[in-house]
Amino acid sequence: MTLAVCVAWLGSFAWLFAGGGYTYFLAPAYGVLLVVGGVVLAAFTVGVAFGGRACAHGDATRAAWVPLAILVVPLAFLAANPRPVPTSYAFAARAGYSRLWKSIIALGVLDHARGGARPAQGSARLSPYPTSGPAATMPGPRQRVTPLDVALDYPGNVGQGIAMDGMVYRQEGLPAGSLVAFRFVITCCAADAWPAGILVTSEKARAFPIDSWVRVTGTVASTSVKAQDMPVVHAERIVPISPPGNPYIENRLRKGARR
Amino acid sequence: MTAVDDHPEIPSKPGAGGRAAGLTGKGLQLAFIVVAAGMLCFFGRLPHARQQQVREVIRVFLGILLEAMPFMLVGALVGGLIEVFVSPEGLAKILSGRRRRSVLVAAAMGVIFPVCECAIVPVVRRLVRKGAPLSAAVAFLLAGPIVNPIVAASTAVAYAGDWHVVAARLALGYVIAVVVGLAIGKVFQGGQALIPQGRDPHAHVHGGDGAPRRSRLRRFGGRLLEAAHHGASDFLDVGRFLVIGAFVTGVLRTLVRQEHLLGGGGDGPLAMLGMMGLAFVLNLCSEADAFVAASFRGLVGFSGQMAFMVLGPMLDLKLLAMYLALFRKRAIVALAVSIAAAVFLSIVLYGHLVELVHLCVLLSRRSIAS
Repeated sequence: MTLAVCVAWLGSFAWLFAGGGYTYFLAPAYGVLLVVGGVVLAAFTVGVAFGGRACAHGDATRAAWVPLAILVVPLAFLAANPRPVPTSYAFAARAGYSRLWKSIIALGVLDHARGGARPAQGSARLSPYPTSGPAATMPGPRQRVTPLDVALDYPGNVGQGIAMDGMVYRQEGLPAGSLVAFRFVITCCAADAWPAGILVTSEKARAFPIDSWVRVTGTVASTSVKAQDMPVVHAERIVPISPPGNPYIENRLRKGARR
Repeated sequence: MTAVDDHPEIPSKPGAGGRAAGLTGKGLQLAFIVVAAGMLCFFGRLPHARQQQVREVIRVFLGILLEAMPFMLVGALVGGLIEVFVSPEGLAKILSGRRRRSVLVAAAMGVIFPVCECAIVPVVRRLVRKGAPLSAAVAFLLAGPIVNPIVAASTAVAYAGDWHVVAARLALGYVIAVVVGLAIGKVFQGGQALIPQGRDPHAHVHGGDGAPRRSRLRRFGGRLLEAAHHGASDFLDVGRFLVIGAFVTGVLRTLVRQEHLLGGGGDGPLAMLGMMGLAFVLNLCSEADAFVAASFRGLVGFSGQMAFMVLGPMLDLKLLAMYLALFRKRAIVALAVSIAAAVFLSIVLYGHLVELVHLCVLLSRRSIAS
């Protein structure tokens, strides 16, 4: 049984690494950990198969079923849910404590929506946005960016034309004609992923369901929510897209994230 | 011939401590299996919102596990190599001599013999029986799982190469282990602190019948196979606690708003105590806990993260159960209280020290500028 568990874990590591499925759990650079773990597991497999009974009680060969069952559980979860994508649930849950990025992501909007009495869906509590930029400036070429790029490059990117992929988030308090396009930023593993969302305004915003993937083409502008300056993308076009191979975006500011 | 057979004074029947440890561990493990099976079987019947919660639990759980497991595996392999190639008698010889010197040496021995907290308990038990001073044994027990290269590497990876965090963790682990080791050695004599006829639940893993087996397996390749076999044993023994710890973390991170869990987080004493409590409950392996601590960045300050990483390898639910098989209850109480107090006070002092250094640097820069 111990041999079977070692082989099962070895196979899982190989499958995750070869198929690229590990990027749903780990940052791409951390795939090497699976290689290291796989080598050690291969050694254990050989040791259990040919090393005989290292101890007289044969702990590794006649192991109790409980530890073996526990080690099988993650593999069962992996088989049942091999590519879990962080959804709007995770966005809402984690946005609450990412104070670090409060000023640059959509959290100001979320906090605003949470504060006080919640207006009915679609009400214009935040609207009209006091915006600047798009009407006054000519959009440049459509640069492919992430929500994190938009946030980090703000306000230098106001007036810039961008194309941005993300998942759709919407909640009570957001005005009609707007959505939040979000991605999760990963540093090491899924546990440390934090959300980066950008407010998007469009007449067709309500047509896109929550958690669907969209490509937003538009122009970066600025808006103010609760006296907090933040970026907004005025969409000229929003189209549904297929989910990307890697649901996460890498942390551009690793050092900054620790501050 | 087993380790117990090597020591006829140890009864073959497990002591009260061993039974307590076994029951605690088994109940936790069975509960995990039941909950996990329930999640797998009834997932399809859950409403959409609950399904999203479960998916999030699984995502975080597997994320932590897949990142931490390779480190745990390397630790298990190193533990297997130590088991085969290093004799406890040799270690005990290093630890003999004056008490303070032996404590200082013992607290740094993890650098040469990197073992995690699960593997270190039976090693320490054998060291004590071979004549190592109690204070030195406690210092090795507490520092070994922190002051070692594997933990340093995993902490560096988790904190994206921030060597300040790595250095602080190792330094604090070392200092706390030395202080607690000396204090325990001062209060208790060896016989007063240790269970005379106890039998630790992991004795079979590392004690074993190595000598006769080794005498048969003279070839180096054979010994490597034996080491790999021991490593696989550690994979089973330690890996299950890592799985459960990662799962509990996934549940807590998903279902409990972090602000509520830690009283709003921050960098104060309450956040530190909250993180110490979390480390005690989560039972994470020292080779993996840095990844969990790092995931609290943005919610809890440096002192809270450090308290989590320093206390966890010294004192958690799993270790408490294992200590029952090694120490008397009053010694465990003294150990637990002194560890918690030392961790809290040393990190507070460290914080003030860092602030003082920053202030001095700032003042010196201003004086140079003026």
